[in-house]
Amino acid sequence: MTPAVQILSFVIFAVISVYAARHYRFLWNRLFQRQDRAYQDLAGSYLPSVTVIIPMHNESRVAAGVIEHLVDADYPQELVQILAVNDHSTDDTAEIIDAAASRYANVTAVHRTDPDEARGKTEALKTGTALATGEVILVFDADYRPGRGLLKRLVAPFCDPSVGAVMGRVVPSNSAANALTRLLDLERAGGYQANLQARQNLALIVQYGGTVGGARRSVLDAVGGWVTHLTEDTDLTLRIYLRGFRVVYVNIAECYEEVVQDWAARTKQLSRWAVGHNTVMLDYLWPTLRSKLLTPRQKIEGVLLLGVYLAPVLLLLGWVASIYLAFVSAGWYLTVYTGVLGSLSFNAWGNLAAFNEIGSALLLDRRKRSILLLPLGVFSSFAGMWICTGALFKTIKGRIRKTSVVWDKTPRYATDAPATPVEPGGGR
Amino acid sequence: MNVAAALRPSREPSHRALQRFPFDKRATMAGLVVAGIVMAAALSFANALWRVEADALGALLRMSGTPHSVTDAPRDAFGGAVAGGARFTVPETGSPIPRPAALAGIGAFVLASAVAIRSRRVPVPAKVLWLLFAAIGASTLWHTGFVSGVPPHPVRTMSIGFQRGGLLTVVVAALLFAFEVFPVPGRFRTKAGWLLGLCVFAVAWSVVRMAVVLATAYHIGPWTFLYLHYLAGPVVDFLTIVTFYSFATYGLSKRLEEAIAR
Amino acid sequence: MTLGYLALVGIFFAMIAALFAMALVEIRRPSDPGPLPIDVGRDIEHRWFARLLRGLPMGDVHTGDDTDPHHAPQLIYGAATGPATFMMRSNGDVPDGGTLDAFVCDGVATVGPGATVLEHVDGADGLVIGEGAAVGGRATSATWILLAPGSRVRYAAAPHIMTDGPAVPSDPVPLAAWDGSFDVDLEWLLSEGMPLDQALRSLSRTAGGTLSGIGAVHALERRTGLGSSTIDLAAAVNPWWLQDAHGWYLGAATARIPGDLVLPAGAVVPFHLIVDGTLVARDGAHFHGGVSVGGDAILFDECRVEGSLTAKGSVLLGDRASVGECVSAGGDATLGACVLIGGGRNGGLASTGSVALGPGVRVTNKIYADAGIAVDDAAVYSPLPERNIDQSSPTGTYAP
Repeated sequence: MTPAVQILSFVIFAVISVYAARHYRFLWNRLFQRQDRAYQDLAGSYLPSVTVIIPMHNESRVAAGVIEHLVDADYPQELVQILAVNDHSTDDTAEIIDAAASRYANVTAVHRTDPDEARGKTEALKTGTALATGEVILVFDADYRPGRGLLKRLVAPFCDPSVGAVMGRVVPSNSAANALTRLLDLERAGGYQANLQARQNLALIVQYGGTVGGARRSVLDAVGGWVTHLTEDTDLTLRIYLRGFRVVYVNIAECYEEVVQDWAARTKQLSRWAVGHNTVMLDYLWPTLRSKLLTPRQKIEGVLLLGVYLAPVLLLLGWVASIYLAFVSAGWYLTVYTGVLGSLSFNAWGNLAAFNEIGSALLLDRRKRSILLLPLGVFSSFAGMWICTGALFKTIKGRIRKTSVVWDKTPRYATDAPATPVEPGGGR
Repeated sequence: MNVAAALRPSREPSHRALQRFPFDKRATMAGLVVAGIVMAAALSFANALWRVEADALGALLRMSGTPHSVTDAPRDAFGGAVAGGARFTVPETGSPIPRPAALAGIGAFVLASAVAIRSRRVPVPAKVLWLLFAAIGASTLWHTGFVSGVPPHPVRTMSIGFQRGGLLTVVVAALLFAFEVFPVPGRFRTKAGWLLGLCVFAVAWSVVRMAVVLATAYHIGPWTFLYLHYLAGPVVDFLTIVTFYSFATYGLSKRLEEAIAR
Repeated sequence: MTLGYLALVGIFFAMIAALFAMALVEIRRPSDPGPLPIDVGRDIEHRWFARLLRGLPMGDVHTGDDTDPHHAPQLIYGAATGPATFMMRSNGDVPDGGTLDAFVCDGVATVGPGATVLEHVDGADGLVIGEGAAVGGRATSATWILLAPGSRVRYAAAPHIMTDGPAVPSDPVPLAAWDGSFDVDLEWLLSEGMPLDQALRSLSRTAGGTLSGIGAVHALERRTGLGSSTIDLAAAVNPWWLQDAHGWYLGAATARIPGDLVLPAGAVVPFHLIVDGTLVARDGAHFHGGVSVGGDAILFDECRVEGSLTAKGSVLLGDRASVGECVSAGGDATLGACVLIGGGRNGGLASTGSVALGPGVRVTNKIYADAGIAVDDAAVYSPLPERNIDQSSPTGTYAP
C-alpha cells in the first residue's frame, strides 16, 4: 500500500506542477507580454446581422431590463433580432416579453409551454436558434445588462472566418452583497482578466462561457447545434475547436452579471459546472489528443482544461496521501519527503499560482483594496476541493447509471447594475 | 479645463482589458538577485539561524512551563545543513486511550461529520475544515485505541530543520517575489520590504508553531500534534505567502500609475 | 496547563489572525466594495473628442471667426504661450508648416502641407491632410477624409477615406446570390468530377453573372450532408488550385489549409478560407468568402476578397485589389494603387504595425495603425512628430 501511495503522491505532484506552471505562464504573459486585441480595432466596422437569444425561466424581475438594454444598443436595429424565449415560466415573464414584443419591432417573444417538451436553457436555445435569422447568434442570460457598445465589440471577431464563437468578460454586479460575492468577484477577475486573456494571447483553447458571447450560425449548425448538457458551453467549445474553428475572447466586452450570494447556491452551481465539465472531459479527451486540427500546444492545453475540475480533487487527495504516509512513516527521509511534498506541491505550489493570477488581475483592474482579500480565498479553495470531489463521484455515477441531465437554475437577486459616469476618453 | 491634456491620446491610460505592464529588465534582474541572495543566505546561514531559533524555542518553552531537553542533531558531511539544528524532547505524558473511549470518540466524530455535511447552515468551507479535522482525529483515535496504543507520530521530539525552521517557505517566497512581484512597476523598497517581512514572519511562525506543538504535546497530549502539523502548519505556511504577496501587491498598486508613467 | 502555555497558544492564534486581519477589515469596512466600474453606456465613438470640444464653454477654446471662412489662427509655435486648440465654426485651415494641438471644424478642415496637428483633428464636412502634414492623434470626419502623398496619421475614421491619386478604384461587380434552381445542376457537375470552382464558373455563365460560391457550398451542404464532419478538401470540393497542398473542409462553407498556400493567377476560392501559414495569391485570384491567414497575406494585383481579410502577419495588397469588408493585419499593411477596402456598412483597416497607402486607395469607415499610417512609400519610415505618439508604446497603449 505504501509504495502505491508514494507513487500516487509523485504523480499528483507532477500533475499539480504542470497546472502551476500553466498558471504562471499565463500570469507572465498577461502582465508583461503583448495583448491580443481580438479585432477590437475594427469594432463598429464590421456589422453582421445578429440574433440575440435570451432564455428565460421565471425571470419577471429582470426580463424587461435586459430587453431594454439590447434595444438601446448602439447597433443598427434593423440588423438585430431579439428573441426572448419564455421556457415554461410560471410567473409574469410571458406577459413582460409579450409587452416588449409589441413595443419593439425587432423583439419577438417565443413561448415554450408544452408540458411534454424538454425544458432547460439548451432547449430554449434550440428553439431560439430555429427562429434565428442572424449570421451571428449571441446569448445573454436574463439578468445581464449589456452596454450600448457591447454588441459591436462581440461581433467584431467574426470578420475572421476562422472564428466560430466569441466570449466577453463577465463582471459581478452584486460583489458588494457579502463576503462570498466578494470572493467570487476575485475568482471572476482572475479567470477572465488574467487566465482567459492569456489563453487568447497564446492562441490556446479559449472557452465559450454560455453567456455574453455567441457563435457564428453556420459554424453552430456545422458542429451539430446546441447539445443538451449541464455545460453546453464547454461542450460547444470543444466541438468548435475539434472541427477546426476557434473561439475568441474579447476582454474589453464587459457585462455585469449576478453571482450567487449563498454557499448553498454556490455549491449547486459549482457542482453542476464540475459534473458537466468532467462529462465533457470523458467525451472529448481522446478526440482532443487525436485531433489533426489542433496544434500540439492546443492539445496539451485542451487536456489541462478538460481536467481543470480534477485539480482540486488531486490537491485533496495529495493532502490525504501525505497524511497517510506520515502515519506509516518508514524513515526520516519519508517524513521530510512528505513534508516537503505536502507543503510545496499541495499548497505553496498548487494553489499559489491560482492566487497569484487573481492578484495580478486585480492589479490590472486597479482593485487595490480587493487585493487584500486574497487570504480569504483559501476558504474558497477548501470549498472547491470538497465540491469537485463530490462532483467527480457524481460524474462517475452518472456515467455508470447513464442518468439524464437535471438542469438547476441559478437563483436571481435582481440587483440593479450600477450607473457609472461616461469616461472622458470616450469609446475605443 | 486643460483642454490639451484632456485630449492627449498618447498619455491616456489604455483600457484595463488591453493593458500590460512595461517589462522592466532592471527590476526583474534586481528581483532575481534578491531572490538569489535570500536563497543563498537561507542555505549558507541555516545553522546560525537554527541556533537563534533554538534559543527562541527554548525561551518559549520555558515561558509555557514545558520541561524539555535539548540535544544536537547528528550532523552529516555537509555540516549539518541537511540534518538540521537542535533537537528538543519533552517528557512523555498522557495515557493510552482505552478502546471504548476511542470507539466513542470515533463515533462522535462520524456523527458530527454527518450532521455537518447535511446541515445547510454550515458553510461549505467550514464543512471541509471540520471533515479534515474529524478525519485526522478519528484516524488518530483508531490508531491509538486499536493499533499501537499510541498515536502515530507520538511527538515528544522535534528537530529544527529546513522545513520546520521555515526556510522552505523563505525559498518559495523568494522565488515567487522574483518572478511575480519584482518585475511589476513599483518601488524597490516596497517589494524588498515585504519580502523581508515575509521571511521574518515565516521564521517567527515556524518557531512559535514548534513551541506550541511541543508544549501541547506535554500539556494536553501527543495526538494533538497531528492537527497542528497537518492542518495549521501547511495551511498557515501557504497563507503566509499569499498574505504577504497581497500586501506587496497592494503596496505596489497604490503608486502604479506613476510607476508606469516613469 | 500554565498561564505561560495559554499565552503561547494566544501568540499562536494571534499570528494566524494577523494573516487575516487586513482581509477581515476590508470585508467589514469595504473601501473597494462595489462592482468593477464598467461603462454600460459606452459607445464606440470615433469622434468623441470633437463632441467634447464642441461641448466646451467658448472661453476654453480659441474659436475662429465665422465671418472669415478661411480664418487662419496665428499658428507658428516655437514656445507656445497661448491656447493651442482651435475650433472653427466653418471651414478652416491649418496653414503650411503650422503646428496645433487640436483642431475641430464644422465645415471642411484642411491641414496644410507640412503642418502638424499634435493631437486630434476633425472636419464635420470633410478633412484634407495635405502633403507632408502629420496628425498625431485622430483624424476624423462625418463625411470624408483625403490623405495627400507624404501625409502621416495614426487613426483615420470617416465613412470614406481616400488617398490622392490619378485614378480611383471602381467598385467591383457584386456577386449574384446563389439561386436554388442551380442546385441540381451543381450536384450533377460535381458528380461528374468537375472541381467546384469550375462548376461554379460554368453555371455563372448560364446565370449571366458570377454566382456566389458561398451560397453554392451552403446548398451542397444542405443537399449532400457535406460539412457534417471535417473531411479532406480534395475529396470534398476538389479545387484545381490545391495541387500539392493539403487541406480540410470544415463545414460552414469553410476550408482550412494547415500550411502555406500559393494560389495561381485567376484562382477562384468559392468558400471561406483559413490558411495556417502564409498565403500568396497571384494576380486576379478571387475569394468568394473571407480569408484568415496565420502568417503573411500577399495578394497580387487585382485580387478580390468578398469578405474580410485577416492575417496574423503582414498584409500586402497589389494594385487594384479589393476587399469587400475589413482588413486586419497583425504586422504591417501595404496597399498598392487603387485598392478598395470595404463597402456598405462594413469596412476598415487595422494594423498593429504600420500602414502604407498607395495612390487612389479608398477605405470605408476607419484606418488604424499602431505605428502610423503613411501615404506613399517615402513617408513610411519617417517618424511622427515627437510630442504625440509613443510609437514604441512600452505600455501597449491602446488608443484607437
